[in-house]
Amino acid sequence: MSSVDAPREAPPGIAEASRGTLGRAWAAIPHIAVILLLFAYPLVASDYQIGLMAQFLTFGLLAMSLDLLGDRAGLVSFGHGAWFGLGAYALALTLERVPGVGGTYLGFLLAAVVAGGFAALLGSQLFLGRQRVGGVYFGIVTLAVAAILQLVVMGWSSFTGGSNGLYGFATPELAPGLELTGSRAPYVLIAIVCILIYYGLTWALRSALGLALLAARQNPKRAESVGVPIGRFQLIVFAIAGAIAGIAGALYVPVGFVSPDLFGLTFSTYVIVWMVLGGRGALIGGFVGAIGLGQLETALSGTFVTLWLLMVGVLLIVVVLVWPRGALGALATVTRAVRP
Amino acid sequence: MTATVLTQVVNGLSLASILILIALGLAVIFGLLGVINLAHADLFMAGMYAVVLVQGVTGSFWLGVLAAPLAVGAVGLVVERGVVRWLRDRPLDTLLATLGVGIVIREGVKLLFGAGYRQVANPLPGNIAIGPVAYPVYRLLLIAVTIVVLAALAVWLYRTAPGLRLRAMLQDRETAAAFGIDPDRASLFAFVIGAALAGLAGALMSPLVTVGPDVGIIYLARAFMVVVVGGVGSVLGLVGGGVIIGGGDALAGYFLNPTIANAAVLVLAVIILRFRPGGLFR
Repeated sequence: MSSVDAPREAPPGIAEASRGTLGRAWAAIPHIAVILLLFAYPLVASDYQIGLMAQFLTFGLLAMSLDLLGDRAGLVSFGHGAWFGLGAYALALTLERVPGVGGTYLGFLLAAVVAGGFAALLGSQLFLGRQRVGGVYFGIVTLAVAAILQLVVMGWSSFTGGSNGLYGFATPELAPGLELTGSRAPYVLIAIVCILIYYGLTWALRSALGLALLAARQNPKRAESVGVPIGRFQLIVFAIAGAIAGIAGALYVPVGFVSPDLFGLTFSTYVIVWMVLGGRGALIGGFVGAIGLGQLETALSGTFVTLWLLMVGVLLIVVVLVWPRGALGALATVTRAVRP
Repeated sequence: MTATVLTQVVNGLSLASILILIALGLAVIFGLLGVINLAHADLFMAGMYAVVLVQGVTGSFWLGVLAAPLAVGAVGLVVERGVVRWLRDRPLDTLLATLGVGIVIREGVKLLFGAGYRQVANPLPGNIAIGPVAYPVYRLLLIAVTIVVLAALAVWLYRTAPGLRLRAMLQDRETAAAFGIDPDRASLFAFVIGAALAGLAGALMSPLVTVGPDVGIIYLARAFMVVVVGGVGSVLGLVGGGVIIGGGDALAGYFLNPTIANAAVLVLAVIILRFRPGGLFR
């Protein structure tokens, strides 16, 4: 009831330690290659393509936070887009009142605090009680919470702009003169933040806390019996995942539209699709799914306008049924075959 | 004054019966199989399009209401055989897979019928006088139909052999199998019944809404809440959940704007779920 059931291998921390120097150097190559590719992309792509890629990166960050929640807390949120929306509205509403550099940093801070704090508040109610609300019930609650937030955003139009969304707020500005306009400046910021958060999380998850989380996820009863406070851990992971989703939403502001659709079921469904198709349990899978599907959609939807979503649905079913580890799982199978 | 109060009471009853009707299929599948069917909203929507299609061909709304549960039940059969059955030991993956099924149904309907909106004419457009209030006949009919369907479901579950087999399987799958109950067949049966009920609900709701491929999603969160607030797996819980959510909506809608009223009722549902995760009526 309270476990995500994708089959998995040894935790990354343990797998890493068992490799030699050569193995570690080999393992570093894809990381360096991906980072180089990320920063080389704006040199070869058009402004339009860079803007799209910047959006996909924020979606990837969001999907990664959902994967963190699923893999380390055994929870799947069916309204995760709402936390992205909270972050986006936090930054946009702050910029509306406090333009300039101060407003930008305050807005980003608020995005993380509001989204993370809201997750912590909800989590404290769901996980710390005598009867934990987990598993499928957590899914239903998050679905309802997203619906509630969307209704509030639509209904409170004097504050939120209602169904039109927010526009006309000041351009975010990182330093005097360094405005996040066009697509290049936001892209570079988004890429840097994604890299920082990804490696920060990977590092944090190798700690004792990270391993305890994994233990709690894999066998909740046993972990609890050796003194792991599962409820408190779920709360921490939910708050971190919420804060990351909020930051992703704030990053989305310079490259997308701040509208109530971010709180909608459709968007949250997409987040799940990105996570599952990319591959669960390895953080990077969310990026693989969001960027892969985003690029495929841009390339194909001209030819398959009506068929595109149908294919995504079929793919989701097939991957869950026969290949629960997604695209990353397929990649891992290939690299293991060629590794020296 | 009494007239307004009476109108609101009937409104609440009408909304409660509609939500119960919509949540029925969800409750059957969740209660009997432990499966949360995220494709429910889209099965419900498919029931509406069954009416659109049958009414378009034959001109009869009531034939459409007959055809919808059959057609959607058939879809349910395919979904159980093809998807749900294989994920029995992976409850969260079942959610993800049925999410995919929902997308496929929605996009399939868009492909077949186009993304535009359809209207289904109300087959019983008149009003009936209840004391000082005139109320639409069709909405009163829906209250009656909901009561009949609920009663039929209760009789089926508690007074017939297939219902007994299902309840036995729900309690202990292996022991039930040892007594000669085929758990796979019973599961299939329950899923098809749940899907057919979703189709029936869609067909009956079609004259009251603007039919479009996304129409089901509007009701999904509230339908879930009806199921879990009352308590999963009991007919009484379902009725209680429907009255709380539907009645609460009508009551709050009297004082607040409809959007905020909707949100307030969902907040109430989340709070109830936090303090009584098993539901109120168990």
